[in-house]
Amino acid sequence: MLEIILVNRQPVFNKLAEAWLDAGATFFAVVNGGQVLASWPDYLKNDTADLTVPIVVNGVALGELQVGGLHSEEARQMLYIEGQVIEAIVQQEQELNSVAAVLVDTQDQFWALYQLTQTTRSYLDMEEMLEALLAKSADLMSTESTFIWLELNNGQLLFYQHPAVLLGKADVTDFLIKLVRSRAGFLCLREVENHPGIENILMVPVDVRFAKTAVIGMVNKVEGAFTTPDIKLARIIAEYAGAQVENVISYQDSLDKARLGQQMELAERVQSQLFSQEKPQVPGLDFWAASKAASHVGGDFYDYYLHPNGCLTFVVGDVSGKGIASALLMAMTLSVTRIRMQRTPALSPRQIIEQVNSELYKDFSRVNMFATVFVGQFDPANGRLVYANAGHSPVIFCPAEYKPMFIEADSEPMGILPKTTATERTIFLKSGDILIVGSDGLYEVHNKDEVMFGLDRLATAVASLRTETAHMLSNKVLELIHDFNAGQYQEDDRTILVLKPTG
Amino acid sequence: MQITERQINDIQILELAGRFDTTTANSVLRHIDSATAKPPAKVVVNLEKVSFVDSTGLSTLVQGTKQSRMQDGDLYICGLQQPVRIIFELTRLDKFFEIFSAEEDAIAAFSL
Repeated sequence: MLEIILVNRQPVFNKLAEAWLDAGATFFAVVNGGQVLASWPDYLKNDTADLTVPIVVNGVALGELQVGGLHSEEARQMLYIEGQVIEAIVQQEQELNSVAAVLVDTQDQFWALYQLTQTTRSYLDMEEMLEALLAKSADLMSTESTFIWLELNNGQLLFYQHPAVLLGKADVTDFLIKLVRSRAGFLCLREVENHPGIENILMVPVDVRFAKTAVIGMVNKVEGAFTTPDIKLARIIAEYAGAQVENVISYQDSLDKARLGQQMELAERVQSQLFSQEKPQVPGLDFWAASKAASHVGGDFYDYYLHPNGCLTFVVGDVSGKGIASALLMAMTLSVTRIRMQRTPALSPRQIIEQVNSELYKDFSRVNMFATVFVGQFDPANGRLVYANAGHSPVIFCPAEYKPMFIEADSEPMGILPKTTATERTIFLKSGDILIVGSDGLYEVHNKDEVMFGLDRLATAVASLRTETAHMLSNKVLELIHDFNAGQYQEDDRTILVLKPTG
Repeated sequence: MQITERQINDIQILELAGRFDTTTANSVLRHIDSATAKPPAKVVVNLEKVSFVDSTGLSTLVQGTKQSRMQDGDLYICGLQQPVRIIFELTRLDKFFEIFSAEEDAIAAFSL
């Protein structure tokens, strides 16, 4: 180090030497381990130093300053001070060197990152991205091959190597064990035994949120062995690889979600088409039905069929649970029910429930679900309504002159017992009376204070809207519930069927 | 939802607390599955601290009842709060389940 200082700071030493010689010294010299690095004037063999001061920087002795021909205390002190000056200069030089080294290192790393980014940024497919990344990494690291090993949380293993295929899964597993045991945070083997074709290997962990185990490795350094800068560079590559893998997974995730969203929208359109589209024109009857699923698809359903004799058979049902599972079972229940509803001669409501339950009981049990169902048959000629209620609510009968009342279920829902206990009842509706058959989504609705809309509020709302048409009544009830639920998540499907004799 | 499991003699008691709905039914089902794994499957589900049961919760109890009956046992329900009792009544599932006011009554019913 002193040699470098002597060259870089020669004027300083010239000035010091000149001062010593002017003060009567026979010579001034810089010496290290008996070797004279510089002297003013030339060092003679028989010269002996009268004053010396060691140059020690960070505990390391680098040499000493020597002066001949002077013995005074002032001269000794002066040399001591000059020694300290030289030490400070050496220290500055060392710090400058290490700052320069860090800068070079950082620049190398930025360059590597730039190269990696340029190479991989256009890939959104995992395999393509990793291949490009591995190829560039092998290039940057000057290795025969680079590999990445990702055991994703979903159990999938992604193992790629590029350009040369040098490792089997067993090799990587073995190196992984060594990496865990090394506790150094990386594995660097300058010589490898028992793995033919592998001369040396450097392996560092990759931080990936979606992976249980993730490492990137460099195999067979082209010239020489892996060095400390290689380890630093490998870590930079690993960090970049981790971020890229997460990006690609996130991208694929959002792509999957978008696809699922499209599928769900399609399912929603299909489901809305499953319900009867044309409202029947029944003389003497104002009729309306509507349904709004909580998510894209739901488990509520309604259907109706106008028999040639003028009777209207209708059904409102609610399959337990929510979402796609309910929707699938709903579609099955609806189609089986529809077939029974359209039989000639017409089946009674109890028969419809019995037959559908008997046909679907095993399916319901297998998937741990059930369906509440209300089936009604209305004869506009005499206002006679025959119905069977298998666990369904709410059913509100709102006579023209009286308070609304609830029609309770008589039997358990479909899918609970192999043979249903459904029974049938008859009531008569006259002009001005209203029958509402809804689903529990009409009253199990909560506002922001967790207060439930409830059955009583629903019955009151229906009574206050009794002069509206069936269509308007349906709309306004749904609107009221929507407003009550304002800003909250729609918890359940909402279905309403309104039957209003008019004459 | 909190699920506490206790055992009194050969009877498994499942004490639930909170909302018993789509989001919590699966964890209840896991407890019911293990309680009904071998005969005689005698299970009491205490709903004293349950504020709400939806159709998925009801389905879970139906399945638990069927499973325990297949394993020479039964599943009894107790401690229904009024809003929860209404849900059982509206669906007429109060006729399907054996429902008791207090846990002691449900436990005692197994020795009848």
